[in-house]
Amino acid sequence: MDPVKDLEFHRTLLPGDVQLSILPTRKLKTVQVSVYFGGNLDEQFTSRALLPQLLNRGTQKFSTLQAMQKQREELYGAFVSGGVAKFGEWHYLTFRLECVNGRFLPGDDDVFREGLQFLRDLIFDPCLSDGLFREEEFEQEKSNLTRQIESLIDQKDYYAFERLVQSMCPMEPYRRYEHGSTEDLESLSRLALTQYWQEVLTHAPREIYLVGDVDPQRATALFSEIFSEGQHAPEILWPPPVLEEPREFQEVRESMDVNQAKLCLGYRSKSTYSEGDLAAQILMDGILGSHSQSKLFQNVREKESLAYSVHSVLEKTKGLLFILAGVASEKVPQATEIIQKQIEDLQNGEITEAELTATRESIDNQLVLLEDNFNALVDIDFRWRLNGRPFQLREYRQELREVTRDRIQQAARDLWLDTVYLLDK
Amino acid sequence: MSLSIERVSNETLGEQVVRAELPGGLPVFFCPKPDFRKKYACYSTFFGSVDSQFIPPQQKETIKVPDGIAHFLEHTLFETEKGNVSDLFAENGAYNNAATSFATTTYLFASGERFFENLKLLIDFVENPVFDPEKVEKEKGIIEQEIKMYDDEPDWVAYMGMLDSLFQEHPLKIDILGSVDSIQTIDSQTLHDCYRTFYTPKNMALFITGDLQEEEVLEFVEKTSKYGSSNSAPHSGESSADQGGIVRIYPEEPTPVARELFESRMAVGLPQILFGFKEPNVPQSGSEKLQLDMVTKFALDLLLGRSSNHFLDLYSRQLVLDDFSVSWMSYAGVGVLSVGGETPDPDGMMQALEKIFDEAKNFTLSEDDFRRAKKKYMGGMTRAFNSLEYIASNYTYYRFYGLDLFSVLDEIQKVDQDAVQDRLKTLFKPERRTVSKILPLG
Repeated sequence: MDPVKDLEFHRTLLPGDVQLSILPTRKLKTVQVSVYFGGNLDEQFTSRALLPQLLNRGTQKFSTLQAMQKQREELYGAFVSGGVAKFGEWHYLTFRLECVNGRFLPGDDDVFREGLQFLRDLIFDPCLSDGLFREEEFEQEKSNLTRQIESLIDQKDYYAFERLVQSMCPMEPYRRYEHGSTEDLESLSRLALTQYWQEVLTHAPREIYLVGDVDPQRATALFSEIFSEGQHAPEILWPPPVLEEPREFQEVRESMDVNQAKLCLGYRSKSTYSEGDLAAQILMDGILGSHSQSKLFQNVREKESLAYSVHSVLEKTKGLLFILAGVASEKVPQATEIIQKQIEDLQNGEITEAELTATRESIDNQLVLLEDNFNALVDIDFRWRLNGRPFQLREYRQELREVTRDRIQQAARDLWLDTVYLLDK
Repeated sequence: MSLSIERVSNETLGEQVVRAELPGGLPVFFCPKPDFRKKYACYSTFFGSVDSQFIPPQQKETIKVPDGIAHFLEHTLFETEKGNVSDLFAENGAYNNAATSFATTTYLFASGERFFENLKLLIDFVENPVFDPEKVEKEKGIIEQEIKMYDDEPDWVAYMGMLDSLFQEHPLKIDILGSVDSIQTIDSQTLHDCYRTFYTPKNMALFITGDLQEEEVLEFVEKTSKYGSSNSAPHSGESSADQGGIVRIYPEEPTPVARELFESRMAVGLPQILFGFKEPNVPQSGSEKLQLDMVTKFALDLLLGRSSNHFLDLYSRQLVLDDFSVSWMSYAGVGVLSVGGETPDPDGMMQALEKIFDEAKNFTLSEDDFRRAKKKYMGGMTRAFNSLEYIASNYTYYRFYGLDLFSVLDEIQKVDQDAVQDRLKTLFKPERRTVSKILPLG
């Protein structure tokens, strides 16, 4: 029995035509708010990455990091913070509040109202000096972000993945790293960032989500009161990316002093949210490498002991598939061969009943569990809407259940190996 | 036969846990979570990397086992007669995993549907191991790659380097995974020795949570577990008071650290500095351990936490960055305090921190800071109850130490400002200090 009511967002428009989506649930001890400001992964990507760092530095009311932190503690350790995320060729800002629902605190039920006010101030009312972000804070956050970008290298898996993406998509906006570029940061001025912030407030399309044990009407009233920033004229975001034509295969190798080689393969496919057969693509990715019964895990790790970690990931807006493995240097050729063999097997329709069942069940289970994962649900709802499709969990489950072997085989045949990237000593 | 049941609840949180002991001695816990689609179970044993020397129940000889064996045993259990257990869970659509820590090994799964089929799988594979020498050999290749993956992670290298430098004798110095060399000496026999010592009902716990009926859960477990009948526990013997009669041996740890400095050069973007302080002879279990753990965490948070003046100063001088962290843990009678993170200026950061450590005994707590710290902990604990995984793993963890998770909220209320103030006087003794440094290549 599906608890249908649990998953329906109550959607209303706040003043300024900002959509508020509320998902009431009794499962949470907290109230969670997410405010999204949509954007393109354009030349402004570094400004967008730096902006939340500056906003996190202080509001007019709580103007230092210390004052901000003290206020979070006052609100029972509430989470209030902004960040940035990359999704295909979009790049959006998220501001989040999570605070304990006053029902679980003896005598302190105004935490939510105060938390919401704090979140609102963080976005709209930063501490400025002469109308600009403060100089010291600006310089500090610039160098913090520079370091964060430079220390990507500390996490070899992520580093290798970013390098694969850069090699594979040199002309596509998707090549850009979500946390920005150090060159852009160097030349970024306080004035430019402050102007960018004002631009975001007036032009970035925005959405607000609320999840928790709340009364939708009362919550809407509270948002209308606190988040009433008036009219704005949102820009139109880029349409979903156009599929790239297959081109010549390339191999990229980078040397570094590492104990374990990172082997990354990048494929292009014909399926995205808006084109081709995404459901079949998801099943194909599952059989290939998204869980422990999948071909990669079984053949690269379990049968040959070549790797501890090996898996595949889909990028669904651009139709990309990545395979990522950590293997011993001397085993790279053997691992590469076995990985490619798994793709060939899929293309030849070699899928066992066990592989198919395990993948179907595993995907279905993940979707059932999604109903308890509110951060993920909210993010998925937002992301699907960016792609112009509403996310209906139960319909989506059904759609995935109906994928046939032939469609999976076809999805594998549509794969085109674009780039192999190797990080090795 | 109906089981005797004990109920614990917390009214502010609106949560309750039911405890029953199977006739064979296994404690089973159930936390009802109405409305949740996820159902979660974990089967844990109080056996981790610190248990490197012990006398099995009803024996006299001390056994010293190779480093990394608890973790190796965790991998071994996945290989059942019907194949790798992850495959079997996958066929049922469940997510499964396992984790080995300093003190515990936990096997878990989460599923939306077919919960009882998966629960049977979990119980069966944990209770019925297969020690196939061929598979044990093959697993070495996989674990070797796991070790090498961690060898490239600066946080892990810094942390394990810090522990290894702090301790001369205590097994907290041992890497949970062991080393590429130590795992070569592991075989079916040593694995079996560990299994029969630590995988005994009184040394284990099964925790189940989700939208399920209490009677159905307990009946199913009683019927399915081999500890559902009283003659099924050959090792429980007569000594029912402790964890099944295991004698754990922890060598006496001398006060001086093994090394004052650990340094490693790696392909990293930024240097990393991690200070460690060891504290020999801390309470091993019970509310004494809990109070010490909490008082210490409050002390560290008030001295160096995000809202402290020290943090503000370090951060604004760019000596520490966002990943700066302060932590405390205590296992098997010793405590470890660690302070550190990435830094653009390792010498500057070390000097500044050393000054803070030296002056900590004169640091005066403010009543207002203390009040807010309590609020933060209360809120954090309440928020954590959103997560089935948190409830299951922490409830089990506290039980192994003779404590109840629900009482932690009350214990937070009881933390006394003077005790925290006193704690700061003894926390940072220079002779118990080591520093672990990760520096970029070149």
